[in-house]
Amino acid sequence: MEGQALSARIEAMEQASRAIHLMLRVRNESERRLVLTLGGRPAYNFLVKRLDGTLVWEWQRGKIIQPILERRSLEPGEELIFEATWKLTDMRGRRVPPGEYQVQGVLNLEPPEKLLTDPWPLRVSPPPRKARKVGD
Amino acid sequence: MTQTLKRLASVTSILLGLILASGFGAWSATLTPQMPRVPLPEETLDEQLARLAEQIPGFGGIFLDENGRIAVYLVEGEVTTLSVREVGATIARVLGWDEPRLRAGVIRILPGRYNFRQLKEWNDQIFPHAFELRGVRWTDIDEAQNRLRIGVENEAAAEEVIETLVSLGVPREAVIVEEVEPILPMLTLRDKVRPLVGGLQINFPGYLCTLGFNAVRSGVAGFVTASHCTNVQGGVEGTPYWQPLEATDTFIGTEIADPLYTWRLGCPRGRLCRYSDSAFAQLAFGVNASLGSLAQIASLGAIEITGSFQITAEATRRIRGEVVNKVGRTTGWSQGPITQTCVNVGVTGTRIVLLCQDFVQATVAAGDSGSPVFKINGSGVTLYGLLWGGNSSGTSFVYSPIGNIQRSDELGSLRTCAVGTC
Repeated sequence: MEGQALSARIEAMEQASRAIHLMLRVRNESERRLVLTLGGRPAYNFLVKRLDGTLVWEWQRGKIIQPILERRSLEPGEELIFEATWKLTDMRGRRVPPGEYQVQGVLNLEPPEKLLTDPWPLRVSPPPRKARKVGD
Repeated sequence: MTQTLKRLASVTSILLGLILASGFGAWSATLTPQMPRVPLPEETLDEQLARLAEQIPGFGGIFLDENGRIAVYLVEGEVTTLSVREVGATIARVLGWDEPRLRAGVIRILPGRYNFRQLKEWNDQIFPHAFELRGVRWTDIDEAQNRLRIGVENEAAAEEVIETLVSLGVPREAVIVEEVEPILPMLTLRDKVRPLVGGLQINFPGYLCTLGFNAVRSGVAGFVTASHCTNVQGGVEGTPYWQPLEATDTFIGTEIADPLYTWRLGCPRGRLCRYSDSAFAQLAFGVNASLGSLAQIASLGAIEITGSFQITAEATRRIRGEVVNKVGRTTGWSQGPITQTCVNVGVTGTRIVLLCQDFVQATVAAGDSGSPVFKINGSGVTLYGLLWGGNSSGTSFVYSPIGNIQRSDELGSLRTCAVGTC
């Protein structure tokens, strides 16, 4: 596994006001085939934290993972894409307050190794106010 | 928005690796500021003892006897002018061994026949010749027997060694030649191991899992692993297996049973259910497997194999709080209490629901799928089931109970060696 030959990109797209679509793309930037050992099915994870590093939400939290190891080859330029949706809640299902957050993508490899992206900033905006009817 | 990936190398693991790599000597000596430091790295123990023999005339060896007393051979006829206390002090100084009994001269003196320097001289003479002979396994100066010892493979090798001793002029009576077992490197769960036992790493195209346990199903010898450790979870595709990895001489079997996941009574609408995540593979011709054996591991968290556990029973009931074990290729041996029983569990990323599964609070990681779950009961183990899932933090695993695995709509009856003789 050659970390330098890989790149990761996180896309965070707001879906309406109640969810953010997260996408982790891991790409072979080298000119030769790479073999990754992916740890678990699913092997990816997303972490949402406050700016002070406190974990707010984790995609895998509460999920049962099949503990299998997969040898996955990646051709030059080939990309693995992993997706999840954050419904702007914490791990207890409560809506998080508006503010600044950061998200990290994680790809679990053969334990204990994992690939972790640098934190990427996210802004959670206040929910849009409903238009008041005349007479309310 | 492209970001460089950070690799989370485990500092703890690296440090541990360095500590282990530094090694621990067989000789444990406590050094104090008053004691001269012994140049341990430069000198073998035999060289140290030979140096001791230069300072203690007639010294033939030192060891702790069966009662833990310090015993020293002194050759009869080689008169030493040293008192027993002086002998002890010299040993303490040369070996750098701060032992009060040595300083006090509390030593058991035994009549020896050979001076250690003489033994070392013969050993140095024999050593290069011995390893030119077939079947020599080791050579040693046995300080507890005041003799040389040579371990050989068989009687023919012993005869050759004795002929060589005679030709070198070494007295026959100074050498013990004995047949001994081979010294093998310690195998781990990830090495090639035969006969096959539960807990070993297995490989099928593109993936690594763990062999659960050997079994006989409808008269066919084979092994059980997780259903998701097949080419397709549910249904038979003839998945080939190798142990530990695919190679010309490591093929061990082919999947022949993996019931489909279906909607059935008790299964939520829109979901597919089974009572176990298990599949059965037929053993390949000529592969040796030990029915009823699971890999026994040196210690919790380790993967080095020290022997085997024997399955002597299958769990007919499970109680929350019971402590069970698993052995798997990634995290080795782990142990913990059953925290939940008979849980219906949705499998992440699929429509599958596994019915009536148990949760255990114990270590798990990717690669452990298929591990045998068991309880140690004195001389044997009781088989509880097969591990197939874990939480994201690796602190809890899920297994399919053995009773579920042997339901008629699952793999059916299996002979695991739990009853009768194997």
